[in-house]
Amino acid sequence: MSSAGVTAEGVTAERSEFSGKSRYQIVGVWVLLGAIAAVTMYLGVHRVPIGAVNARRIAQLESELKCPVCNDISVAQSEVKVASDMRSQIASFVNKGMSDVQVEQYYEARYGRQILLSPPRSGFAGLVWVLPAVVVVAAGALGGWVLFVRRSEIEMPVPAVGTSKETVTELPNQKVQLDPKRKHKNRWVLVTGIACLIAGLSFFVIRTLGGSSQSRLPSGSITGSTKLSKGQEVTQLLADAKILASDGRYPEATNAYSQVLAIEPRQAEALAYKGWLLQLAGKAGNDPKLVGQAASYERAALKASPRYPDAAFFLGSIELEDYHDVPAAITQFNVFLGDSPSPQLVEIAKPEIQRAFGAEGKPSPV
Amino acid sequence: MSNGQKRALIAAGVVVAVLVLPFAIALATRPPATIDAVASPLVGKPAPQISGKSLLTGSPVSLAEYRGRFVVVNFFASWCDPCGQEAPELDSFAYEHRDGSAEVLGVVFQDESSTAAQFLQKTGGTYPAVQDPGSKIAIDYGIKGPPETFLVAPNGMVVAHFDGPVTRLGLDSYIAKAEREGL
Repeated sequence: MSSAGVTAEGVTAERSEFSGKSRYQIVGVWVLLGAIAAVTMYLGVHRVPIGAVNARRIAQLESELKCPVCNDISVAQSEVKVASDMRSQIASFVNKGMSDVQVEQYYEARYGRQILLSPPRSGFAGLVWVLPAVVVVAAGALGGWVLFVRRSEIEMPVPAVGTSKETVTELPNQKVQLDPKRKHKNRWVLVTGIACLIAGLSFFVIRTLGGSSQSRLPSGSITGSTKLSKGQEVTQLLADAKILASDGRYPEATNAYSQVLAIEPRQAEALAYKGWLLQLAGKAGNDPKLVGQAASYERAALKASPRYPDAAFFLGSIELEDYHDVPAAITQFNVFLGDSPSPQLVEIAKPEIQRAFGAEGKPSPV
Repeated sequence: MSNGQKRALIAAGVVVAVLVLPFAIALATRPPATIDAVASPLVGKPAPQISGKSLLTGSPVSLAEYRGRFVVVNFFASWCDPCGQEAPELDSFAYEHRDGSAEVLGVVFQDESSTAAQFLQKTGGTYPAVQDPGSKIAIDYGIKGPPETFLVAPNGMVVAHFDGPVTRLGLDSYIAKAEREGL
């Protein structure tokens, strides 16, 4: 075993230094780690907009709760009335500030544990949510400790005081400290590793159990200071739904539109875009019932707002693609083009409009 | 065996069948005297509030006003066939307890008020029943599909939950049991 860099003087100096200075260093390290964890959690909570957090929590809860009158499908997937009423109730609970655990407990107290499609977050079964994190922390801490001990305290020969580096007499089972520089480096490697572990775990905990920590605060927002009005809530939900739809998260977008309709049943945008999402789902699942519902939503949107071009386009699209009724599609496309549609939507609609007019042997207006 | 003996045997079989068959039919179609309660997280806990307007009379109804009496809370719908089977039993139970010792309170589950009212008239149901807007009452009672019935004690606690059609005798037996337990 090499004895390079180890001297009797160094050992004595290190031992005397360890008892006083190192203790303060250890405390300082833990304070630093605590600060990192606190800052990480703060950033994790505040980096997501309130509405998006609530929409995500609502969508998550809807997918975790079983439709009580269905066979093993979630509230999010079911179209039956009770499931729809539960969706409205969940949205209302979350916006009132109830935590995810409280919402789950509310339904569990009425339906029993079988209402939960995933394990509950509280009680003994709730350990499944926490245990992985605890195991990772414990393993990380143990590994770190072993590494620390092994690197800083090595079984090696102790040179007798007054002897040169070259004439070393081996005295087994006596511990000596490494070169202070090397020990310092090891300590910082360890600290950086634990800091990364804590930061990662903090984000994991926030993302997994975020709802429960956020909504311990009193109002409908995670900051506890803002209560959204119905109008603001609708605007926020519509914005969330657009983002979710553009990300391809159609079930969650549909839920966001459903929440808008629970607040304002005649909201034209929510009716039109929920209809559009139902049409997509109907096409994907080859389900004419869903397509029929989609058409009903578009008609309801046009009834609520007769000059809403998006609803006219979606209804025209259903007439053309699903019902193969070209004249009816052309009627809706004409309404769409006559109601100042957005250039982006005209661009999207162009191929279908050209196909409909082409099928009738008429020149396309776009 | 001679032909005469065979004919006699067949005739005896027919006579026995004619005599036994009505009894068998009667036994098979008769409502069972006992009904089995099923588990519910609500049993042993205060019954969730129910209030609304009676479908048939329009007068206000609430579970709280029946405090001090046994109440049979029944979730039903016009589209539910077993609900049609149990409705006469519930009506019979309500008539039997017309002295006010027990009440029946219906709650409409996922049905229109008009069709639910027609259902009650058709099946002879004279007990009060309320509509459930937003399925709030159904969710509060953890309903999974009608008919479902809860027996609420005079102290307002849920003492039994029945999933499926109930009978007058079955309900009476559970009331007697609850009374024996001092509820």
